[in-house]
Amino acid sequence: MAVSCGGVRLEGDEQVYARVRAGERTAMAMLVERYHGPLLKFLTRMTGLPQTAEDLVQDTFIRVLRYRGVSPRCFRPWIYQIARNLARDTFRSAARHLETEYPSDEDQGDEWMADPVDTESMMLQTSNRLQVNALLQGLPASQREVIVLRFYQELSLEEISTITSAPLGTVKSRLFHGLRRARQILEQEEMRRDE
Amino acid sequence: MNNPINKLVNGLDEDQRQSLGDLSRLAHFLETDKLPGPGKEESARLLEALEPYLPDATAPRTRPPANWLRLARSQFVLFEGSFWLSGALILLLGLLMAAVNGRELLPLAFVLLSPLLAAAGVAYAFRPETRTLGELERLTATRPVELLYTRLALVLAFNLLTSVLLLLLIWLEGSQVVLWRLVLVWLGPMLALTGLALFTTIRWGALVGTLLPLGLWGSLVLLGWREAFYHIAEGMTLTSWLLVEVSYSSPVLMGSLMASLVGMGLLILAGRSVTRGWQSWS
Amino acid sequence: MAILELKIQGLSKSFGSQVALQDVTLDLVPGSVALIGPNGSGKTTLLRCLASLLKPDNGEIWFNGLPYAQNFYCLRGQLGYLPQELALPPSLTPRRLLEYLGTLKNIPDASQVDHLLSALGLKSVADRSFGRLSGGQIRLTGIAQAFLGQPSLLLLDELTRGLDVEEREHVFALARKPLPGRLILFSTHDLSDVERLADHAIVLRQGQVIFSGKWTIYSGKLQINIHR
Repeated sequence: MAVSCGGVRLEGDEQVYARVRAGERTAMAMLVERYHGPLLKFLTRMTGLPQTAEDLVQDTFIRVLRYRGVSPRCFRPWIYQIARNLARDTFRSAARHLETEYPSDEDQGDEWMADPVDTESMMLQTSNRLQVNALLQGLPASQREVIVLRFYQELSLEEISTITSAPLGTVKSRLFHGLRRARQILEQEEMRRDE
Repeated sequence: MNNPINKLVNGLDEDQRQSLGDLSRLAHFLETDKLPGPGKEESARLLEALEPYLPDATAPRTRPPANWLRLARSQFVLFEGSFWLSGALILLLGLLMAAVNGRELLPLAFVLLSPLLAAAGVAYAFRPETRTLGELERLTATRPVELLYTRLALVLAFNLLTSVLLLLLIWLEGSQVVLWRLVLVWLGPMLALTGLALFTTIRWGALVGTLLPLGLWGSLVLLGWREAFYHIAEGMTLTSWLLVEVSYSSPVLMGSLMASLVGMGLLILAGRSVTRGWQSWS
Repeated sequence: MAILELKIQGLSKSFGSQVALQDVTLDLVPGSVALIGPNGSGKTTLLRCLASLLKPDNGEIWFNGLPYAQNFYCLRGQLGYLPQELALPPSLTPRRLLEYLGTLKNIPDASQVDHLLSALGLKSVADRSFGRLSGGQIRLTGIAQAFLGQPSLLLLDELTRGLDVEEREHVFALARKPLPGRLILFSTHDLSDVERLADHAIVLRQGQVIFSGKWTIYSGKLQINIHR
């Protein structure tokens, strides 16, 4: 699938990846150029830990380079899926090490996502980053993930479905409920501020 | 999809969007989180760290089966209309011969001319006109041996097709020749001359690749003619003698089988020759 | 960190008594490098050696850390080459040539072919046989096939030879498009090409490198010599 944006991008990700698998350095540089930023931002938003996110990005690319199976039909959701799973696995093993029990609700296994920010009010945060983060932390992890992937990474719902291994209907439902809840939180905070 | 609201709701059903109401404040709020991307140095560090994991590019990769067909199809651009026309003309000639005296003339023509046509086809496919193109072909990830055998397969396939059609004509004419023996007697020289044409073309160019098989076959035909004339003197016709030799002579059959083996050997040697050449400087 | 490395060490090549290259040593990294020099200075010989079409008599070339002799497969899969002379079958068309070479380069679809034909202004003549094209159009086709597959090493001999002003602009626009880790090494007699395209220059004379460095430094020296 070739994407053409002003004639700059001649090759789709799948073709570039095929060249990476053939050992081409320039292809690897292209892939890094395309995905280093987006993956870093995604993982930083999800984990809240910039340094950890950097390490996870590197691990993601290493996984991609080491992969020996059939090439993915769609590269973009595949690389995000690897990144997401790596982050989840990293925090799971850290949690096991600390002998933490998993919660039994639908957020089981999502403790790899950033902890809620310790603040009374979202609007007291001094930076936009922290304010947005505080709002997102008010959502269940699965809804937060879908909103981040949809809004910031601009992935389609079908791609998000692949990444999260959830049916499309479930992804839509999470997005819907997540947006409704996020809007409510924002309105409540704004009312509190006005008071 | 730059509209921030669309970024949020794209993909949701219409009634879900309606139910959510005005999301503009939420969308603009989320937009205020501007996370910086990695700098050039960070990307360079990442690339350096990934270097050892890049797959080994030095080993040639075998071509998947589906790609062989694509490679074969791509070779058609190198065969001009004259090539296909010549095949059609040969068939036309066969039809004319069939009209005149198919029973006797066709097998004679088939045995004498078919191997030459295969060799000529090989020399055509690797003609000097394509030399610059040959250099450009060399500088791709496709191994020359793949190209060699694909192109050869096309030539042989075309030759086989015309030969099968001629054989069909011979069979329809009700010729007395034993068909399976005729096929073997045709196959041996055809493979031998093709192998010789290919090997010599690769080593010494298309001119040698044309002249050597032509010369060799011409010499064999002349020797055969001498033998034939001896039998003609005894009262047989040329074509009858040929029919007898093809249908009953064990030495002819054995010779043809030997020629097949020699031909296949030369084809394999030709492939090895180009592989060695490709794995070194030109 | 350089993505692509091309190291040349002590390269020499003679044709009989004629010395074409003499102890050429260069260290090339991604960017755009002009190879300049008078006729017979060894530019084409150097490019053909780097394209692995000519075996040098002495010296070594390393591509990404491996010597050429161990690395032909990898090299040829990442190489784009424009020969000095283009003798192509007159019955072929630009589109057919690019599609054919695209297949050999394992490029899965024809969108790159269409893009290159458009970028170089060949769309209107894409299906005309070479026998009916001008020299400039044939040269542009040669340039297009070199860029096919976005190779990381581009060796372009006499890049703008026979091209008119408009055709040159197409070529510069294509060559200037950023591609990380790519090295373009092109030879030319036209110093304005160097001004437009090159970061660095290598100057050859009688088979020897007499200058290798930033083009601005060399052009400065040229100016000094002119005004003396």
